[in-house]
Amino acid sequence: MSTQALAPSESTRAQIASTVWFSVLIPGLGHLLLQQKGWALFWFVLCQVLLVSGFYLADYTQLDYGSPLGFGGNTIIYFLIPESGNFLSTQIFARMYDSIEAGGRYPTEIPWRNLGYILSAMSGFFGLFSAAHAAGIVSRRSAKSSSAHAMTNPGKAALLSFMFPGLGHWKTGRKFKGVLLGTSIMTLFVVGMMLGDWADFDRQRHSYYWVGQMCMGGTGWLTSLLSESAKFTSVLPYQDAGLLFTTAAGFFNIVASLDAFHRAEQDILSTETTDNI
Amino acid sequence: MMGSPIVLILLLLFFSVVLGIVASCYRYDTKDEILASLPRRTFTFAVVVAGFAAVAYFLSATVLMPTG
Repeated sequence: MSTQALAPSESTRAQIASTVWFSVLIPGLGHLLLQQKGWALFWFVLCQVLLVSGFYLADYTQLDYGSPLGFGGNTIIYFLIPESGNFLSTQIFARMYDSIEAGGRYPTEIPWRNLGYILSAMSGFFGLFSAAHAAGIVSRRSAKSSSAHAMTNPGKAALLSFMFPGLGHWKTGRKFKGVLLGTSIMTLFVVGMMLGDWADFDRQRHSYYWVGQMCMGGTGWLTSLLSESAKFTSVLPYQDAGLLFTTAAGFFNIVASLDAFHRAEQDILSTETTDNI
Repeated sequence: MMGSPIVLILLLLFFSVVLGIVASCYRYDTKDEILASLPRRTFTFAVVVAGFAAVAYFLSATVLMPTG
């Protein structure tokens, strides 16, 4: 099946759009509007606990990597990637606290800085995937057939693929795609880390590449933790290629995750069509 | 530090294969379709990047070469 396939109805798409906006604003809010109180509480608590603990552990130095957009000397919006996936809380933190660098301390003095960055980034990523999960609930709910309701939530498929490349495809029965995507993306990431001597996964050194590397999801986060103490011992001839590989692997993982969402949504829509014939 | 041209070409080919796989998997859903479209996508990307590299190398060795 190609990507030229079925699409949800206008009303379903409108409901998905509003659910996604509310979920990104406050993770769990989209679920609450869908009367999914259990999921709403789960996503809200998960994202806020991760964000608060991440900011606390890193002494708010995440704010040094953000960009304030102001008007007349007042900051209106504070873009901090990837934490902005948990949008409103990040805005509140950016107004309430200052980075310890403003006090003249150097970020490398903070012992749990890297863990803090990972936790706050997880909060933002999970905020975005809470939106995908809420959108998946809308898709399944709008289906009339009972077999469509039994299909995998597209948001769940997307999250599984994000946490481990290809896992969402495997879950929806696309085992060949799951293995192919998982193997190739993971290999690209590992080769990239090897070319950088496992020492090139550092937010302070290159914060924008770091965002791409963090898009590797669970495997990337674990790698970041395990390689935290690695240091460069020599000039590496292929370090730039390694950085490109690890960052591209993260972006490929996002593409795979979007594909997992789309395919799972197609499963629901095609079941609906088949049942109506 | 400049790496070996052979290694750089191998790295380009490897990256091209992975890019081809991701692009094919995004476009198609079945094993046969994915495998059929993979070589063309891999080859196209590798040739285009190698072409840009050749142009960049030529320019760096001629008009963009620092003088005196």
